[in-house]
Amino acid sequence: MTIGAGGTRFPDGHIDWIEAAAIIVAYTIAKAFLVFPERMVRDGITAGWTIPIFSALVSILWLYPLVLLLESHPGKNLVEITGLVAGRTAAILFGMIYGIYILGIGATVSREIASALNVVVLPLTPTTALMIIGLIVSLYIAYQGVEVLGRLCAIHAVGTIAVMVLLSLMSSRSWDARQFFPLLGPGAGRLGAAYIVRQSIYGEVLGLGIVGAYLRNPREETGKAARWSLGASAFALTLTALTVGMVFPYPALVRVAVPFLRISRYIFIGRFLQRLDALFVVVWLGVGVMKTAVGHYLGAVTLATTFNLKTYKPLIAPIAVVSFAAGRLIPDYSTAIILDFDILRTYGTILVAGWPISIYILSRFTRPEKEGGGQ
Amino acid sequence: MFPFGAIKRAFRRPSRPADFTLGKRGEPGIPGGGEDVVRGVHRERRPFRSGTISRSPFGGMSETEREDLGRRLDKSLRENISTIMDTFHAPRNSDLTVREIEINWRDGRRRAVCLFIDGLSDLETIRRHVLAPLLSMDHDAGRSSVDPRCLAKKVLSGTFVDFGDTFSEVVAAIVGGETVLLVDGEDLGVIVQTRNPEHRAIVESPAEAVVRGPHAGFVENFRENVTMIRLLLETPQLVTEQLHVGARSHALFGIMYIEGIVNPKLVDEVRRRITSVESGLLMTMTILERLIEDEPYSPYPVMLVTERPDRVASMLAEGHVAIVDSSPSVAVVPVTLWTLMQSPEDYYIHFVAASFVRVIRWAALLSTLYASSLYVAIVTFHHEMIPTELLFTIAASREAVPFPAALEVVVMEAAFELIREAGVRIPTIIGPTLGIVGAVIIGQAAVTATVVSPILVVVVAISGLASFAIPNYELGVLLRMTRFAMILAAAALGLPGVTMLSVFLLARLCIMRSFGVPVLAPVLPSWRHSADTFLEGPLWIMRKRPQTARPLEDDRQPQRARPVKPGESVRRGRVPERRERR
Amino acid sequence: MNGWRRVMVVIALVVVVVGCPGCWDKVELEDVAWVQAMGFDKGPDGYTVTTFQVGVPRNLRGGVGGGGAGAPSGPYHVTVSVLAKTSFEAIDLVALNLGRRLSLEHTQSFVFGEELARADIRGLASGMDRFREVRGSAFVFLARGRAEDVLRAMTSPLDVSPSRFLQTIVQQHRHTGLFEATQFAPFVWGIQSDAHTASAPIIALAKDVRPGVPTGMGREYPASPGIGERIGEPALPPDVGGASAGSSMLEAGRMPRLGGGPVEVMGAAVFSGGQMVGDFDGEETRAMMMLKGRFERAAFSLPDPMAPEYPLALEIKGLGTRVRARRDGEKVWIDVTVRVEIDYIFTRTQADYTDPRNSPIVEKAVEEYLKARLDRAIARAKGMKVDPFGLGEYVRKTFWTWPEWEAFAWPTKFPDALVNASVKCNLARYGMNLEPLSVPPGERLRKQGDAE
Repeated sequence: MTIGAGGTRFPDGHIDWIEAAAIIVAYTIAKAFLVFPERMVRDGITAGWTIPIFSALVSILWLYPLVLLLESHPGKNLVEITGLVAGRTAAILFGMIYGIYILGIGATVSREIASALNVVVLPLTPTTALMIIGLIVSLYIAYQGVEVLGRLCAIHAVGTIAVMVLLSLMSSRSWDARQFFPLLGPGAGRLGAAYIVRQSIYGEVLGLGIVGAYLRNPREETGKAARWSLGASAFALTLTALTVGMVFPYPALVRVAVPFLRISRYIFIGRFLQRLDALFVVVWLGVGVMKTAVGHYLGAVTLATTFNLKTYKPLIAPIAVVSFAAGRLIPDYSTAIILDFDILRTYGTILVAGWPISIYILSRFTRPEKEGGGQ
Repeated sequence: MFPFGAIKRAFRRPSRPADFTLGKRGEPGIPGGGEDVVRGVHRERRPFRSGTISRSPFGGMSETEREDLGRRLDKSLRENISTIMDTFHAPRNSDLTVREIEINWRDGRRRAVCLFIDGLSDLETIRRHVLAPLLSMDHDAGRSSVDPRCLAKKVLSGTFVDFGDTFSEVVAAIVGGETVLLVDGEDLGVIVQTRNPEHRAIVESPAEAVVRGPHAGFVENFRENVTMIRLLLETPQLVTEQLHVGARSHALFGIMYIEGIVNPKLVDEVRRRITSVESGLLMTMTILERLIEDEPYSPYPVMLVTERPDRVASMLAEGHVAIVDSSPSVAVVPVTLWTLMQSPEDYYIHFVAASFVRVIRWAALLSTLYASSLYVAIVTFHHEMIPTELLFTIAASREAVPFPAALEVVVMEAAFELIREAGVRIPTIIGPTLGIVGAVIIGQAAVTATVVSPILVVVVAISGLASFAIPNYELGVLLRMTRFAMILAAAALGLPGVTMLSVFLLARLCIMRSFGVPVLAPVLPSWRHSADTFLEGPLWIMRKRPQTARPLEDDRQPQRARPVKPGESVRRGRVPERRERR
Repeated sequence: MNGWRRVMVVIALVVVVVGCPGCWDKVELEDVAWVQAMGFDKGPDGYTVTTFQVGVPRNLRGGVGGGGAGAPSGPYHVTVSVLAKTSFEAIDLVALNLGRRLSLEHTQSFVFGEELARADIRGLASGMDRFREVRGSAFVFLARGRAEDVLRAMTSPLDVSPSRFLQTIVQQHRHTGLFEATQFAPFVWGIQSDAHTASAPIIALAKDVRPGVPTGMGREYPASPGIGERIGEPALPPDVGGASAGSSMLEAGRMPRLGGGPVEVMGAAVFSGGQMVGDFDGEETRAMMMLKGRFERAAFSLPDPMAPEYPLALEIKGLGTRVRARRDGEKVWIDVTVRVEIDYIFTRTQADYTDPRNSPIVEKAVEEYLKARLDRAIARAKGMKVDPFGLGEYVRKTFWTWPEWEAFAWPTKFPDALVNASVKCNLARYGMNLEPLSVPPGERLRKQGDAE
C-alpha cells in the first residue's frame, strides 16, 4: 500500500493528525480540572505556573524520539516497534508496564472525579452510581474504534479548552499579578528539579505511540500531531495554573481541593451570572468520560498488541471493570491524589521518558538485522 | 454480560473489512481502510417480510397460478383473451378493457385485440397511436409484416414499444398501465407504453415552503419528477437509471446522478442496496427508505427527503445521488447533519442574513434539547445557579403546586405534543382557533389553578417552538423524542445526568454514517468543505466542491465568479481564496 | 453484536428507572429555607450564638405570580438565633424549628460579632471555607456589638429584601469610599497572609440623634486634627443630643441623623491573622482604600484655604495609586503616590477656584489634607503591627524566593519601614458653573455699610 500502510494489526480505520492530537489532548487535560494546579503550587510555590511550560519543553526530549520511531515504522504502534527493535521480551515487559500505568491513571482519575463530584455537587449520591454511569458511557465509546474516538475527542477537546478560556476570562476581575512574586518561588534548584520530575504530567502524551499508528500519512503527520498534542496540552495546563495562581494567593492555594472549580464559584457578574460550578461540572464529566474511554481504548490496544491478539475489543470491558474496581478500592480523595501524583507521576517519569528514548537509541544501533524477522 | 461470543469470534478469525469504501478524491477506494466503511453492509439486512403483502404484481396468487402464468402465449387469440380475462377476474373486474379490432395482416384480415386498464392508460394515446394506425393500416404494410415486430417498426406510432411472449409479461404490462396488442395466430404480444395516470398539478409543498425562490414541488408521477430536475440541470451528464425494485414489479425507482462528478462507488452502492430489496406490493419511497438505510433501528435520518427540485438539483451538482419515484418525496444521499440544518431558503437571501438565520436555527436546536431539561436540573438539584430574587419568585410560585418539577415538565411537554398532534389532524377551518384555545387559555387556566408554575409554561413553550424551527421534519421529531430522554436524565441526576446523555448522543452522532459518509463530515473528519457548512459564506468563494460525497471533480466555478467593475479588465492575479485543505 | 446491544439497553433502562424517582440529591426548591444572612456571636462557656435570617418566599417574590396578591402579607424574613457549640450544628437545629431544611447557598452576607472577632475567628472561617454551600462571593461584615442585634433590627427602608439591601449598600463603598466591601474568599486569604491582612467593614445599629442647631459656637466645622491623634475631631458639636463630646461622626452608628434605616455601615475592622486587633473609622478607611488603590470617589470637606473659617466641600475621584518598594537588607522604603482629581467644588465663600491661578491653592490644600490622613492611617496600622494596605505585596517583589520572604516576617518589619505617602491632586472639573454667583451691587453696598 502506498498510503497509510494499512491499519496496523487491528483494522480500525485511519485518522488525521487533528484527531490523533485531539485524543491525546482530551486524555491529558482532564487533570487540569482536578487537583493539578494545587500540586503545581505545592512544588513551585509562586512560580508554579511555570512548571507546565518548562516541563513541556523537557518532554520534547522523549517526544521527539517517539515521533522519529513512529515515522520510521509507519503503521506500527510503540509496542510493536519495541518488539522489532529490542525483541519480544522487551515488548511484553514494556507493554505490560504501560498497561498497568494506564490502568493506574484510569483508576485514580475516575476516583478523583467521582469524589470531587460528590463533594461539590451531589453530596448525597453514592459515588458508585456516578462511576457506573460514566463507565457505561465510556465503554460504549471505547468500543467504537479509533475513528469515532477521534471525532468525539475533537469535539471535546475544543469545547473543553474553550470553556477553560471562558472561565478564566470571566474571573479576570480577581486577577492579581502581584501573586507571582517572589519570582523564583522555592528557589532555582528546587524549581529546576520540579521541571524535570513533573514532566510526567505529560505522561499521557505517550499515548501517541499507540494512536499514532493509525495515522493516514505517518510520515508527514506524526510530527504535526505530536506538536499539537503537546502544545495544546501545555497551553491548557499553563492557562489553568496561571489563572489559579493569579486568583489565589499562595498560602491559601495549597489548601484548596479543586482550585479551578473554586474559581468558577467566585464568578459573580451583574448579579445574575453566579455560581457557575454546575456548568463546570458539565465540563468535568465530559472530560472525565472521554479520559476514561481513551484510557480503556489505549489499554486494550496496548495489551492486545503485547499479547499478540487478533483484536483488542474483548479486552476493553475487562480493563474497564478492573479500573473501576481498583478505583473503588481507593478509600478517599487524598489517597487518590497521593497515588496519582506522588507515585504514578513520579515513578511514571521513568517509564514515560525512558521507553521512547531507550528504544530509539537501540534502534539506531540494531536496525538492519532485526527488521525482517519481527512480528 | 461478559462477551463470550465476541471472544470466541476474536480468536477464530480477524474481522473482515467491508467492501464498500469511498476513496479519497474519487479513487476506487483503499482496501482495508476502515474509515469509509459502510457499517450497514455487515449486518444482515432483513428482507421486508410481512404476512399480508407478498410479491407484486402477482400478489394474492398461489405458487401454482404464478408458475402457470409463466407459459408462453397461445397462438389462438381466443385462448389468450380468455386466459387474460380469467387472470384479471373480468368481466367481474370492470377495469380491464378489451378492444377487438381487425387489421390487415399478411394475406388478409386478422382479428387483433388491445387490452388495457382504463384510467391507468391514456385513452388519447391509445386512440391516436395504437388504434388509429392499426385501423388505417393498408394492405401493403400488412402483407409485408412477418411478425408483430414489424408492426412496431412500421405502423404503431407509440413512443416506447416492447414485446412479450409469456402471460406473466403481458399481465404485468397491463397492470402497469401499458397497452397490449395481440394478433390472432401470433404468439408474440406488442406492448405499447401508454401509462399516464392523472396526477396533481405542480404546487409547492407546504412543508418546505419558502418566502423567496421557486415554488415548485414534486408530484406523484415519475416522469414529471425527473423532468423537473432535468429542467434545472441541463447537461447530458445527468443520468437517470431506472430500477425496478424486486424482480417483476412496477414500482419504478430511478437514481439520478451526474456522471463525471459523482463517485461511481456511491452509485454502485445505492444501486446495490435498492436492487437487493425484496419488494412488497406497496413500494413507495418511505418504505424503501426504511429498507436501505444504514442504521435501521435508529430514527436519525440518513437520507434527505425533500419535495423541492431545486434542492435536489443543487445536491446533485455536488456529487450526491438522488432516488426518485412516483411520489412527491425524493431522497438524496449521502447527507450530513449540516445539510439537515440548512433550509433551501438560505440561498435565496443574502448570505449575511442567511448566516444570522442559521445561528438562530442552531440555537433552536440546542433550545429544544436543553431548555426543559436544564430547567428541571437547576430547579431540582442546582439551586445555587439561580439568581436570588428569581429564586424566591420560583419558590413562591411553586409552593402551591403539588407536583415535583420533573413531573410538571413531563406533563406539560406531553400536553404540548398532544396539542401539536391534534393540530395536524384538525380541519383547517378550526385549526387556528384550537391553537389559541389550547395554548393560551388552557395554559393560563392551568397556571391560575396552580397546577403548573408560570415559568414552566414559558420554558416549555420555548422548547416546543424551537423544535419547529428545524428545517428537517424527521430531525425535529427525533429531537422532540430525545428531549424527553433529557428530561428524565435531568430528573435523575441533574446536570451530570444531562451531561452523560449528551456525551452519549454525541457519540452516536460520531458513529452514524450515511451511505458510508460520517454524518459529521466534512467537519469531523476534516475534509474540505465549502463555505456554507455552518454559517453561510458568499457564493463566489465557494470555488471547490465539498468533499462530503467524495466527488470526482473539484472545481465548480471558475476563478472569478463575480463580475468585475465596468471598465476594469479581468485581473491577472489570483483571487484571494480560502486556504485549501488537501 | 445484537445480544450485547440488548444487554446494554437493559442496563441503561435499569439505571434510568432506578434514578428517575428522584434519587438522593433531589430537593424541590420550595422545600428549602434560604438563609440570606448569618450572624455569629460569642455565647457563654465557649458556645456560639448563630443567627439566621431566612427569606420568606411568599412575601419576597418579585413580580405577579399566579394567584398571588400584589402586596406582601407579612415580614420579608424570619430571624432566628440559636445557641450551640458550633455554628454547623446550629444549622440543623434551626431546621427543626422552621420546618424546612436550611441552605446556605444563597447567603449573601456573614456578620461577625465584635467580641467573637476579637477572640479569633480563624477556626470559624476555616470551617466556613470548607463548607460547600458557602459562596466565596458573599460579603463579610463586622458588627459593632452583637451580630444578632444588628440582624434582628435590619429592615430595608427602600429595598424589598434585606439581601437586596445588603447588596446595594455594598455598592456604596465605591461611591463614598468610607468602607470597603470585603468578600468572603479574599477575607479568608487575608487571614492567611502577612502581606495583605484581612479587613471587614463595620456595621452597627444606628442611633437616632437629633441633628442639632449650633448654640452660638461660631464654629461648625473644626480644623483638621494633628497626625497621630485618634480622630476625636471632626467632632460633633457638644450639645448635639445623645453624642458625647469627642466622638467622631465618621463611625458606624455614630452618624447624627434622625429617621432612615436602622443600620449603618462605615469604617473597617482590621485583623491580624484571624483576630481583630483594631478598627479604622471612616476617614482612615478611606485612606486605606487610597493606599490599596481601590479608591473611586468621595465627597468631603476641608477648611477653605482662602477663608479657613468656612468649609470647602469637594468631590474627588481616585485615579490610581502607585507603590514602589525598595529594600536593602532589613530596611524598607516604600513610596506611595495616590492620584486624585477634583470633580466638583462647593464653596461657601466667593473664593473663585475656577480661576487657574487659584487652583494650585486648593490642590495643595487637598494634597496636604489627604496626606495627613494617609499618614495617620499608616501610623495606626504600624502601631497595630498589621498591614491591611497590601504594602507587603510590593515588598515581596523584592525577594527572589519564598523562604526568604517568610523569614523576613513582614509584620515585624513594617513598623520600621519608611512609608512616604504623597498625594497628587488635580482640579479637573468644578461643576456646571464657572464662577461663583455674582453679587449684585446693592448687596455689596449693604455689606460695606454693615462693616462700617
